[in-house]
Amino acid sequence: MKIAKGTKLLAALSCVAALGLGATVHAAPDEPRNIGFLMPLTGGAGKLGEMMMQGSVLAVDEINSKHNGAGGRPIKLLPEDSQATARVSIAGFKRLVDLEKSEVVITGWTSVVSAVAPLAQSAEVMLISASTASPAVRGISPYFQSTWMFDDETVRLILPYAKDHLGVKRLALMTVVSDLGTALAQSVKTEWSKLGGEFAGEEVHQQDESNFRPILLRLLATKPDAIYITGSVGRQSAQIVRQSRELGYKGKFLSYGAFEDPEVKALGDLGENAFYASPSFEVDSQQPKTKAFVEAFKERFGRTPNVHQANHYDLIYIYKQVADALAEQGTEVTGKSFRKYLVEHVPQYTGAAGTYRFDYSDGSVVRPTSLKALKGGEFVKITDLVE
Amino acid sequence: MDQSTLLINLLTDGITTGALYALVAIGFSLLWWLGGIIHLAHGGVIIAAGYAGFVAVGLWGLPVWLSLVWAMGVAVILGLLIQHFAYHKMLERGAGEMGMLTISLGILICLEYIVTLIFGPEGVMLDSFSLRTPIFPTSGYILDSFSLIVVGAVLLIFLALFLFIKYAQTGKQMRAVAENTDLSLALGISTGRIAMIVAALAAALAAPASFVYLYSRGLEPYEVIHIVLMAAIVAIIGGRGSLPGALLAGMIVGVAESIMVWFFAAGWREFMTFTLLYAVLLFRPWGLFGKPR
Amino acid sequence: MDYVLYLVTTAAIFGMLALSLDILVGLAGLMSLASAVFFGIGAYSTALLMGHGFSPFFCQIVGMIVAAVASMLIAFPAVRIKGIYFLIITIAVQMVFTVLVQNWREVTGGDAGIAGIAPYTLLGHAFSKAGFAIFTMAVALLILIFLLRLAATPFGSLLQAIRDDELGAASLGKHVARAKLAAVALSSAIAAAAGSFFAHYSGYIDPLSFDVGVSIFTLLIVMFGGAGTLYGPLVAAVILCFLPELLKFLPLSATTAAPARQLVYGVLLVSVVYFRPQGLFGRTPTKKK
Repeated sequence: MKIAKGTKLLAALSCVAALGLGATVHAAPDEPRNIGFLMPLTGGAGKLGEMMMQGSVLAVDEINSKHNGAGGRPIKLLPEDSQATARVSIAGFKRLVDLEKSEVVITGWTSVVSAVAPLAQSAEVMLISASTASPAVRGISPYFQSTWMFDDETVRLILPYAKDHLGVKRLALMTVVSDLGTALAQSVKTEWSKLGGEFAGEEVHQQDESNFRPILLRLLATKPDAIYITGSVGRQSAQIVRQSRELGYKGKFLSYGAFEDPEVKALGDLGENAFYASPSFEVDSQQPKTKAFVEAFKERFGRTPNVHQANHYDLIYIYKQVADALAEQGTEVTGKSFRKYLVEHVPQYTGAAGTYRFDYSDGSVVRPTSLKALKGGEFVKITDLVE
Repeated sequence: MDQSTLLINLLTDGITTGALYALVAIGFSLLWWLGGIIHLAHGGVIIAAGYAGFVAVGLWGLPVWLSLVWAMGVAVILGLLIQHFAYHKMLERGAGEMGMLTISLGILICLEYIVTLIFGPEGVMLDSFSLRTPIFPTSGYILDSFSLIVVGAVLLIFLALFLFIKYAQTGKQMRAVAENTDLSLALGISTGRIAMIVAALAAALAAPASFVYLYSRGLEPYEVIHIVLMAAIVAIIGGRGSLPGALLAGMIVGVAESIMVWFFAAGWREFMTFTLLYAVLLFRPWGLFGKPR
Repeated sequence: MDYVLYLVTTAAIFGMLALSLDILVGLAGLMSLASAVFFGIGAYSTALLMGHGFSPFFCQIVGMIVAAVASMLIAFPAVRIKGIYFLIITIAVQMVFTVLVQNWREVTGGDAGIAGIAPYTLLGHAFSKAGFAIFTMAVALLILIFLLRLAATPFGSLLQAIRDDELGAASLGKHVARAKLAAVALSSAIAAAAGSFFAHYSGYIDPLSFDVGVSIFTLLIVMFGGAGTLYGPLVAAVILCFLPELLKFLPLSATTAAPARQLVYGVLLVSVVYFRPQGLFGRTPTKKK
């Protein structure tokens, strides 16, 4: 039996080695350009990732059918499930880069970016992201660029407005246990005390919590005027709102871009008086790119898009812009050349989701931000919050 | 809300949660009691029943009572299939404890991912808002109809089960099989039939439990392991074969979880539940009302 | 080619983890769903100590010791009670570990994890990708040989006697609880060693790399390969680590691929234990009763 086991093992390994070698034979010139899409497609954040992908998919199809591809070749989006965890995303990243030869990867979620950025750097693969909110990844690698404003900055925009215009005196915090949650909570506390506001209390909860009633009972006992929600999972934020209302809470909610989520939208009337800071994206904007995008999206998917889908649409078009330019120069599109071109020639970009002003020194971006709220079951803009 | 009111509210919340835990535990506990089967797949039955209920209420627009009956039907069929094709057949093949545990775990995983494949990973829930308005709005005490219904229903179910097992013919046969399978066989009791009845009963109980989840915190596929783990812990703390034990243990765990908030950040809640389990297993492994063997 | 090496190394590491679990499941008859806990203890020990400039080997040994001691402390009350409770305790330990690691953020970094773990070096010698793949496979094989020898010693026989008939073994005056504890400690130490390799290889670890899903996967490997055979789980580790790649050829959409894979694991688990409970390489069992 022992001899047989050794042979079996060897046989199994040889088979797979052969498979692997086959896969690394180099691609022919008319092959599509592979853009990796390393995002959560299953698990708790799966719905978000899938939703964001719709924006990118729309862009890919448009570019291939109407615009002759990017840099003269069609583009192919390669979805790879990250499950928003390090372990799975590392495997996915290796698959995208080693096997599928992606030079540019769209990714998101702090835990994923933290894990994959060092790998991207050594492989010289460019990471672009519209779904990483935590300041923890600021400056993590020159090969990471965010198109989503880090949300410690949006805190500094929404809190003054809440104090001055929404009549919020006592602020409470629902802090999620994560890097993002801690960073946001810190930002909120610092900013609020700078403004001279009263701090009612803070409750900490797990990432996958679904029953908030005990801690809400305690938080509501401190009589806050507004509760800042740090969680990034729409479903959870919706639960917090719902359960607070069930417990008789009549005050306001404050949050950031992740709040714009279908699960929150489904709250309907329960979600009244919930405000969040978001990159400006108006579904009925008359800006040509926005308008074209909204119409194309409605036609393809049968419903109006949200800011996340617009962001991920723009990511693909940014890729196209760079790939087109590089092809014209006669330069091959690699992670390195992509980055070089971005840094040297693309200080800002205007797309369906507005204008992006990039800061390549730390991978951050500045975008026009608005205050939005859920009214009548729709996310509507209340006002601009500067920039 | 002052501190004593907060405490009472936490207690109320804990008792409601505790009733849910007791209900989930009893379905698990029945198969453990009867034949020593660790029915991890019970979590899968709960989620199947929950999604069936969601489809009935949310998609087909059926009234709640009818949806509950439908969900119970789905659960019972599933439970019987598992009992017959998995547990019964495995025992016939001479499977040991490990084999039984593994197949139950495997079925749990299969059910979790079948549900995920069909419905997606994000979970489902139903709105109970109308039942959630406090009965005494001005007092600061948060007691709503939902809690009353849940606790009342669970108490009724337990009472019915208790009387059934104590006085009904089938109930007595169940007790006989649980005590001594070989002797029951010798006495002419069809142990196979009893096993099916118990499996059906346990599965039927999964449906109301799943509905409580649906209407309070929602049901997500990846929670199945956690749900069945709570069931197992409550069943162990309560003691094998004890209905009052499961009820009391459920309450204790539910209240402890809520009151924990008083002292610790919510994240350590799990820690506390497992410490409780640990303490019980160290000092009184047969649980509150079980029999030391 | 790089990707194949990645799969081979991963298979070797999970093979070690599976071997560690087989000591409990296959030899001692103790079902455990906490293998990821000790895997994690090894990984986190390495990650934390490497930051203080210790050598990889030293960090690994420390991790193994911590895991062994922790496992004995946890199992100490549990070994005196019946097997069913043992499993529930391991599930509970697994869940608590995940919560602990997620919340003890000053030490473990919480959900953000720990990044920048340097690659493994042995006596100052760094490994190439191929080199590390061969090295980890060699270590896995060494562990296998060690355990096969162990199974043949009186201690090994005692464990198997406990698995087959605990009361009988106890009545013969054998120190059942002590043997179980030793098995637990050994199992945890090996799992921790694998965890160290994992930390060095990934360069980054986080709580979700060591959650109940990993424990379940490890159990699947053991049952699939044949609990108790020792070499079965090692081969099964290779097969099951390469399996997801084969699934990639199926026309599944991205959103269904991951749950489909998990479903395949579940189906495999049920099928193996139903149709071939001895696993791929186990001996056909003699029918009981």
